[in-house]
Amino acid sequence: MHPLISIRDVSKRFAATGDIVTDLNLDIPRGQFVSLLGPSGCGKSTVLRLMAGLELADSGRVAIEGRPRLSFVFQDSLLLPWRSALENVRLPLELAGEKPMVADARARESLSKVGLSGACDNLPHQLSGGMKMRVSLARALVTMPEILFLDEPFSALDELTRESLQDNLRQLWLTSKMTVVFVTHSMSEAAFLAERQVVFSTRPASIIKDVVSKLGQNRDNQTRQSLDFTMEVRGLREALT
Amino acid sequence: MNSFTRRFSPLIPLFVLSAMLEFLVKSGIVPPYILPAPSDIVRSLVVDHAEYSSGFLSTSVAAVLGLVLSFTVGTTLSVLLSLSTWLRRAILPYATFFQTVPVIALAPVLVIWFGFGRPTVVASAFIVSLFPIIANSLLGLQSTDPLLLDLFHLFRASRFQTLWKLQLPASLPAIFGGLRIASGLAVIGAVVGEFIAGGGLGEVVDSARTQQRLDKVFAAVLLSSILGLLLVALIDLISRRTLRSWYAGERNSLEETK
Repeated sequence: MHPLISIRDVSKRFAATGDIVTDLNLDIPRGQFVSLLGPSGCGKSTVLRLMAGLELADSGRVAIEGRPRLSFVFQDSLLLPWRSALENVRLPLELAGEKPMVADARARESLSKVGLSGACDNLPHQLSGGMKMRVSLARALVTMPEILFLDEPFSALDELTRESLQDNLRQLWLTSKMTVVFVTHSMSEAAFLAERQVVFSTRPASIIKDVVSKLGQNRDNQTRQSLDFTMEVRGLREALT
Repeated sequence: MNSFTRRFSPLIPLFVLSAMLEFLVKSGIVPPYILPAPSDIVRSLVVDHAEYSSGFLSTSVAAVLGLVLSFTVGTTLSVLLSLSTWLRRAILPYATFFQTVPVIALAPVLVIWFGFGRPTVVASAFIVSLFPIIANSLLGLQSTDPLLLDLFHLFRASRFQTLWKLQLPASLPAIFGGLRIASGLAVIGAVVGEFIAGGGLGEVVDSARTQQRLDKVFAAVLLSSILGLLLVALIDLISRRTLRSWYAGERNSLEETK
């Protein structure tokens, strides 16, 4: 079976920073939750942007099968400050020409999925960092994407908020068929969330480890304290150091 | 500092200065054809109030018309300029050139084109207030967060959608900033136009000057400053009303929750 996302011999360099990626190869099958883990500034975000089509490779090929709906969540929630939570979530549907009634209903549904039904009419500056990120997630999910890209989305949040959002994201993935590519520099985050961890070296980014998680499907706070989880994180730590 | 001293402290130098001036003129140290006594300015404001109020009204109308015109033309032009690098390269040098043209030197030419009266005055107000609007709006339109542009690209937004739903609202604070500068300049432009084309406070200043009525000159200058301040205050009010929900005054709360 063809992988959904396939990266073949991809190289990318920026004039300011030099080589970011050289001869990268990576396949991601449909429906997988994969985390791209690596030290800060190693180029994993660029790999994500290449997959999403936000950057073009200098050489090599980034192929995505079919024309799936893509969504992207950035490190910053990137909400439009003049729009309420609901209006922010509705935006992608609005841009696609969806009828206002339908767009509103779907935006409400999406907000309830991230536990923010009560905050529809709040403006971004009235929301906490964690709530803003939830709105951002709801906006990404409202189009029912087949691929969800996330670029260190929870790294600016406090630990408890981060864990709660991780649980939320994990549930959302389990109940959908979407493919998730999650960039992070946190070993525990990568281990907890994904079915597969791809570990990158420092720049230029190359893959130094590619492992499948041994953790079960259903994960919660118990998982975070389990020996299996600790072993997963240790494996990632050994690869990175 | 409590709110009373904060609000009224700017008035103290005004009183001190006025009192000194009053003393200097009334004691004969400074002759009244060099500087008018503040009391004479106030007396003239009362005695000739009909002339001042019709002049004030006329200059207000011309300044506001010029401002509306430069706002319309300026924002439209900056939207067009924001769409194309080529257009920016071709047009922007001329916009800068426009800014450096001394309107006082151009005013006689404006009279030839538009005749004596309001059209020339409005054109003069328009010319001096156009550039800050173009400069600020363009800056606002071009400094949209690149990640938000990426986001709109991923949503497959059209060029027009990106402009209308992202770039224009995001640049509102910058556009209001330009409008604020332009509103003060529009009054200056209008008064300069009136020097040559007649009407309004500009004509009051000019005719009082020829009659060596320095008290009237200063009274009219004072009134045109007040007009400028009122326009700036009006723009601030509109800007606060528009941006209240998400920017400007609310910026502090924005930073706090970050």
